Amino acid sequence: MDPAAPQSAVGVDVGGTFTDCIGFDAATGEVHIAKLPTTLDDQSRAVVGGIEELGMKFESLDQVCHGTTTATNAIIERKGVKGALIATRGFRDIVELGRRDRPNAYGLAGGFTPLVPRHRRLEVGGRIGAKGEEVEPITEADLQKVIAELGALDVEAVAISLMHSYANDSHEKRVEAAIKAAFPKMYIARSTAIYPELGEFERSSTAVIAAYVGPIITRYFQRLDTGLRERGFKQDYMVVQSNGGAASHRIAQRYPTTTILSGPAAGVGAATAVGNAAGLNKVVSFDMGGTSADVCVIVDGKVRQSIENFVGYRMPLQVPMIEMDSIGAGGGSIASIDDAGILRVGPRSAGARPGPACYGWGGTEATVTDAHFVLGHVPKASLAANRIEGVDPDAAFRVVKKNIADPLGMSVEEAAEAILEVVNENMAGTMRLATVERGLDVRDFGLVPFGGAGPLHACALMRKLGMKIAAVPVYPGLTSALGTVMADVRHDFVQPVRRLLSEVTSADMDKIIRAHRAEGEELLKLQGILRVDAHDLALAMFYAGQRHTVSVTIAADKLAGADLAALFAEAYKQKNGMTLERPVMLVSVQSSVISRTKGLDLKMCAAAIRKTPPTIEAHTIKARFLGRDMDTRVLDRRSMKAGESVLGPAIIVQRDTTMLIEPGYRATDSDIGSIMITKEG
Amino acid sequence: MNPLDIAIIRGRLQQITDEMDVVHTKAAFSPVVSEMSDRANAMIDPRRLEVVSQGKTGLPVFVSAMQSAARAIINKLGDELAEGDIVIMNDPFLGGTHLQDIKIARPYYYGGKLVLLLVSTGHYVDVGGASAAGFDPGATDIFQEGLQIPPTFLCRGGEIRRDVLRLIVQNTRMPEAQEGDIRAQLNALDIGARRLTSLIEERGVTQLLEAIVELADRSEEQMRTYLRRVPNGTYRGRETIEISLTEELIIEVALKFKDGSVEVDFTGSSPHYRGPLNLGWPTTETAVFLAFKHYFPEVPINGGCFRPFTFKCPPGSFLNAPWPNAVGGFSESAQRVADAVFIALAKALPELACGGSYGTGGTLTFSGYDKNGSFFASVFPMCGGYGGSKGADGLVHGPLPIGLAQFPKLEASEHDFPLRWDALELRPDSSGAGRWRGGSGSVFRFKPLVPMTISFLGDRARFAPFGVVGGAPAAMTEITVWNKDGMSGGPGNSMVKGVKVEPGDCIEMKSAGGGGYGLASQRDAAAIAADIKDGLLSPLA
Repeated sequence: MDPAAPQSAVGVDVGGTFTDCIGFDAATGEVHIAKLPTTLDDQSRAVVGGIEELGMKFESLDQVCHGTTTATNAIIERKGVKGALIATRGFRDIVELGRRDRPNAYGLAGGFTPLVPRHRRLEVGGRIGAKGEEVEPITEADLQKVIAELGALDVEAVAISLMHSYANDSHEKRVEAAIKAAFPKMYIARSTAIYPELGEFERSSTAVIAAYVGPIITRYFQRLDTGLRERGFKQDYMVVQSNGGAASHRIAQRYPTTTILSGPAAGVGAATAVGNAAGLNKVVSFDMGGTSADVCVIVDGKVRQSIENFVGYRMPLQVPMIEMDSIGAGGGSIASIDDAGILRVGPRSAGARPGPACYGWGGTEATVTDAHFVLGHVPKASLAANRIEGVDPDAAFRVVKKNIADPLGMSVEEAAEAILEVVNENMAGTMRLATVERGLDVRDFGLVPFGGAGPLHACALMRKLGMKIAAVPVYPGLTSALGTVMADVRHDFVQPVRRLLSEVTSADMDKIIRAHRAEGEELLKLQGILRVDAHDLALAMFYAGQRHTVSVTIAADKLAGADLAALFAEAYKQKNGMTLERPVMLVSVQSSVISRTKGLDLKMCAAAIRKTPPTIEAHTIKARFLGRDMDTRVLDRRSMKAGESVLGPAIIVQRDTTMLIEPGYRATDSDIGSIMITKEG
Repeated sequence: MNPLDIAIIRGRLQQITDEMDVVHTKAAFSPVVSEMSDRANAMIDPRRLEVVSQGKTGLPVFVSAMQSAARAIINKLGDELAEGDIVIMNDPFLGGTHLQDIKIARPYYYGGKLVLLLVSTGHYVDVGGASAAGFDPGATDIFQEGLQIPPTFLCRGGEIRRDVLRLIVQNTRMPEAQEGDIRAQLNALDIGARRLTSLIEERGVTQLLEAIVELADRSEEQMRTYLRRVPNGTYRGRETIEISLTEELIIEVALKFKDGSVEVDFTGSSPHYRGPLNLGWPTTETAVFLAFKHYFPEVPINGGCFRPFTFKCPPGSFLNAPWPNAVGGFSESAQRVADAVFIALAKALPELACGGSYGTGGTLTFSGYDKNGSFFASVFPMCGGYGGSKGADGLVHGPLPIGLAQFPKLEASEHDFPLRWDALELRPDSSGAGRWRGGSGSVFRFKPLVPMTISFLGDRARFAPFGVVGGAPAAMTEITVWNKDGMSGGPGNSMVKGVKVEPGDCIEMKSAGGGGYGLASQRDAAAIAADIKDGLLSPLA
């Protein structure tokens, strides 16, 4: 069996509140879904439980794909392992000092607690220079001393990060070898093994984070492996990495930092596939949940990767990660009146508990969800479909009246619409900025809205941003789980170069690319995959003297004969609106070696949805749009036939979400399972 | 105005200036802008001459400086301004700060009517003058500090004036970077104008103008609400700046709170002097506002917030220095003005107080010729501890409170310049004791690999960062340069003027810590033990 072409598979995405599962069997055409509360103490229990609930046989499953938040949680909750850091003499505090920033531009109170305290940060002699030259050798005595100090600390993990190791990693490797010899069971995170890029603080921080969560990830992956095997699953399950690609858990264990952001990355992968299937080559994915919304820009099926990521204040993490913009806007975002007497929505959130006031779990503040209830956007039929009980729409009315409408002198309906307008403006602003930063125009993009709340806001965002089309994925509330089974198997590599482009020969490039290719093939082979479908390059460059790189992306086999300087000028111009007469520097070569997954076909999902009979009979209710109460059709998603369309105002209900079609927009069920929303006329 | 419209327009105006920040940073050349965010972008109401909105990532010291610059431009050129014009200036007596901060303004017209003034400011590494990269500690007047640009047309009728551009660019040691940075600012202004046009097309110009008036009025009321929290009365602060081993400048400030307004009185402060630590008046104003914004971070950057303030400053004070005084070291004095206000505010609002920060821009300038004979010049900023606050020890390695600029990557600076770092680490026994102690200062040490000239313009070598609510002051700045002639700088001396160093020599900076909050005797014993274990506190200290 080719692990990248499973016939039956399960995707599981673990979020903060729910564990979402989706399973398919190509032979029968069946698709199953399940949603369980996340088991916070050990995520693997809900993962195994979810697969059981799908009713699929473990022993006949070809693949299980997993998105996890274990690493993220360990960092946020500060529940990592006791670890140490080994740094070049004089630089052990770099990881605490950072780049000289403060948590907020204004306000000076508060401090920062590093993941590794100072007394567990050790120094070692030896020094590498900027060009990789050895300035001072690392001696046996240096090594013996640091080994003795490390032994005295009684730690489970150690990070190694030495000056200029990206240019010459021999000192780091000697330290690693000495530790391995002295403490064979020690978990070691070596900075250049994770990401060999310039930046002493960023590399140290990354290594420290890896050491902090590595043993926890390893244990978790092993526990899940045992759990699955005990029930008969025979393969190595796959894990989605932050770059959106999948890898066998055995490989992912080696690079624990790559699993941070695993879930959101999977969602973006699904959005990419949905966009492709809908024939949209420019897509903005929009994942809106209870507390935040994530926005990601996808062009020609490709998502920009960023290595400048943070997992918290003063904690950069250098691994290729999907470039995503997050905003504190979700269904639970709280509407309030600020000190200037102006309506504000978010970033404070009522979260999962107490949640929106209308859920009756003790929430006393008006949220975005409450505003939707006031306006009739969430019909009773939708609550039943979503298995939400005990909802009190009157509570929504009361809090919006008391907290917003009365102080501002508006009617409750006006206040509720104002709440939605403000939160939609905030999200539209984030999308506008996300596209501008890349030199793009949001009006040229299609929208892929998902997450529990995304489809409620899709039309409003289209209206605000002048977007013409949206594709709502087949299971909007389970899109990340769907993404895990669609993720390509992918491995990323980086080689720092830092030389003028004119001085880099094609032989130099060839050498780098061949090395990456060989590494990629080796890793794929370890997972039983012999097929490489793509080898994509991102060449990070800038004009000599600049700091921010602009990447040229190109397939490795198209590199020969390509005019890189011209491609850079084009990319630079797109981003910054002009080019400069200066020499170009090649900063680094990044490779992605990819084996495409041939798994779940979206058409299969569409067919599966239509197989289950609808439970809601189409009916008409009053709901409010743009200041008017309007007769609004309420439809069961499952009652829609391929090609059938409905003109807004309409509300389409399905098990995991509610879709709001504003007046002037049309929703059409496409044969690829997505609901396409288009502007009428 | 409809509560929804005002909320939406406020959000959009903020987004527009945020977008200008992004475009400016991404296209900028000098790392000071692209890496250290030493820039700001704003839009100004040309009728009331008040800032309407400013990008969130702008440098704090520009909090009201953009408004001052806009005032100067409208006052000097108002009648001549026409659609398609762009104005450039750096006069610190009109627009605040120092000559390196170049402001470029674009009047925005809609339907032939002036609606807003878009302004962008950015720090340029070199604007000529006696000392490469500025910050010349020996400057005695502004002529030595570089090219002065009064409000001048850079573009007319939509065309760039090549003669003006050449004049400006030719007066710098780094012409290419300068031109690149000017174009980055023009880009930022362009995106601002485009976004304003779509906003007006959506909402109409009348609604926008109404919103601008209302936002200012609401901001004023918001500021007054905060000021009313302080009981009526006068609260005083006094701070000191070293100008030599024996002389200093004194800042005396009295904050007179009365029913939601405050008079800021600098009577008793030192007169101006022949050195670079004078301030143009707009800088003093902006330092006061940013100190208040650190206390009340929710205050928007909107001209309405400045209305409850009145100022009194004796003529001839160094805080209100006339042309042609030198102002190149403004960041030291501006920070100290903010500190004097912090000291007064700590008495007014002890719950919100923080111990003093290391508090010196402490710019270390180095220049020379690399092995290929190319000229290089750059700066390393100071770093250090922040003060303790109620419930938390102070931060380590913060940017200057009036700034946001980050420290460069050490590895990158070894690529860019012929030098090698020996250390960047925490400085033991440097934090101010207290129930919540200050953050530790830092130590950095590097060696030149070619002959270099080193200058340092700093402070806090003779007067320590203050503690609050009974907390102790912190250790002070120590800069030391070793060369063949021996040692320059050393304890008590915060200025080093043009010292020549060679390979084998060494430059060491020990930065100040932050002041403590509350009595040290009330500190948790476990916290003391942890500090000793971490080597931050000597058992004897």
